[in-house]
Amino acid sequence: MFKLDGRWCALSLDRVAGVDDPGEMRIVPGAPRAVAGLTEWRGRVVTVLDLAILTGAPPFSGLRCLVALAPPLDGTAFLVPAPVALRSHDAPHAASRNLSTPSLLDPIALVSDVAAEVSRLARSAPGGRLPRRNI
Amino acid sequence: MKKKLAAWFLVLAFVLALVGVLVPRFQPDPFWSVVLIVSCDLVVGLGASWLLSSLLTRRLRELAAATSVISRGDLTRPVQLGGDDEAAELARSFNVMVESLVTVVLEVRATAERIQGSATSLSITCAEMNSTTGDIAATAHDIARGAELQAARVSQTRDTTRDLTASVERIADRARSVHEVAAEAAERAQSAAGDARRAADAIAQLADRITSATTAVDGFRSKADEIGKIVAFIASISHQTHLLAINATIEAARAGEHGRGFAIVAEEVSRLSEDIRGFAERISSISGEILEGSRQVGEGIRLSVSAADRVREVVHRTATSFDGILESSQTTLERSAEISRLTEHQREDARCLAASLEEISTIAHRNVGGTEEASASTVQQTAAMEEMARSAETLARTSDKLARLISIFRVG
Repeated sequence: MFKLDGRWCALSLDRVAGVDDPGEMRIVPGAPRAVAGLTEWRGRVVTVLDLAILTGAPPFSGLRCLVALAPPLDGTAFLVPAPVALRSHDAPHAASRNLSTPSLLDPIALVSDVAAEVSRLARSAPGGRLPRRNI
Repeated sequence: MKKKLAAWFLVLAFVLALVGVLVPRFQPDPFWSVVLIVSCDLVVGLGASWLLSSLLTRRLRELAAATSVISRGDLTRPVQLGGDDEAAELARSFNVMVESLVTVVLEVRATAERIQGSATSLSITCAEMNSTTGDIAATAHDIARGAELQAARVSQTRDTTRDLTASVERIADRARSVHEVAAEAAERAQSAAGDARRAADAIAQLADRITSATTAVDGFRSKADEIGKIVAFIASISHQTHLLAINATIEAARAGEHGRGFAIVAEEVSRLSEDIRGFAERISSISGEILEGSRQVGEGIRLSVSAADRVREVVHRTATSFDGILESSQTTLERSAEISRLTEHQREDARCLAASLEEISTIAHRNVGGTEEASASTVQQTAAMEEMARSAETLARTSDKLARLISIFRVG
């Protein structure tokens, strides 16, 4: 879980493959604005999506973490603000950490929105290519 | 004349002889004798008297005729009486007297002419002198008015000089006070110049110490930067450890029941990394505060050094100004001393001037009296000259009258 726009957000652990510092990021020209770029994680190329843009939150600054998603969304990662914490389901432990109830995010829905946007851009672009502008 | 007298004596002797002859005849009657003798004597006496008077009166008539001519002023004809008698002698004496009278008349005539000339000249001179005396009187009157005006002006000048003397004395007092103040100002300027130089030296030492402190602060900031870098490195390691613990937890969750112990360790590692991150953030915050404080101290030191430099410059200029003030004060002191001396001299001169003006005023008032007396004297002199002119005119008339009187004498 992490804090986005002042609110705690959480991803289910079975949707997460791992966390890491975002390495060198490659910008993808003509990609939707939510696509932060491509990077390498554990020997694989993953597509990095900016979670703030996806959720409509203001862009964040400071340390960021890369949250790689588990299958069936493997090859995709979210860029989230640091720090990232773990929270188990037992309430007393959460109360002791003084954490409020987070909003559980649905990665599949978020990625689907991006995929739909990519398809729309591909259809509208001449020759089926993405336009050289950001959404 | 002598012959006549001899004849008359003979007649007389005859008569006397006849009487002598006749007398004895009438001796019986003494009365008649006496009568006869007396009668004879009377006759003789009368005859002799007549004769003598005749002789004498004739000579005297001649002398009277001559004197009558002289009395008419004709001194040209001397008395011509011959003989050796008293009438001739008188005539000669009379002629001598006439000659003397001629001399006197000539002398009187010449003198009268000279007196008339002199009287005329004197009259003219008197007239001229009268005119001149009038001018002198007018001038004396003007001089008297001028003397009065001069006395008034001198009195006014004396009063002004008294005021001037009082002012000069006040100025002298002020000059003495100024001299004392200038001496005090010079002393204070000298003290202030010394203080300013000492302040400049102290500020220079302070600036040097602040500059030394700047080096120390820079070193301190460098250490703080190094601490910041170390803290950032620790934070980075903590972050990496935290991420590693999260990944370990994720892997332990996938391992199921077999990964539960590993998950607990991963959670402890994560908690430890968060504590480290908290301490690192705390150290980073303190380091940032130290850096900010060092920066502020450095900025303050820089401002202090700049201010010290400016103050040192100002104090230097102040010291220079005080040197100039000291020099000016010394010059002012010397000049005020000179002014004080001059005003003292001026005071003495003013007193002497006042005394002189007092004396001049006295003399002027005295001159007023003198000129008034002179004016009165000229008036009197004018009157005297007029009197003299009148006397000269009288003298001229008198001399003219004398000349006319003398003119009746013909002397040749």
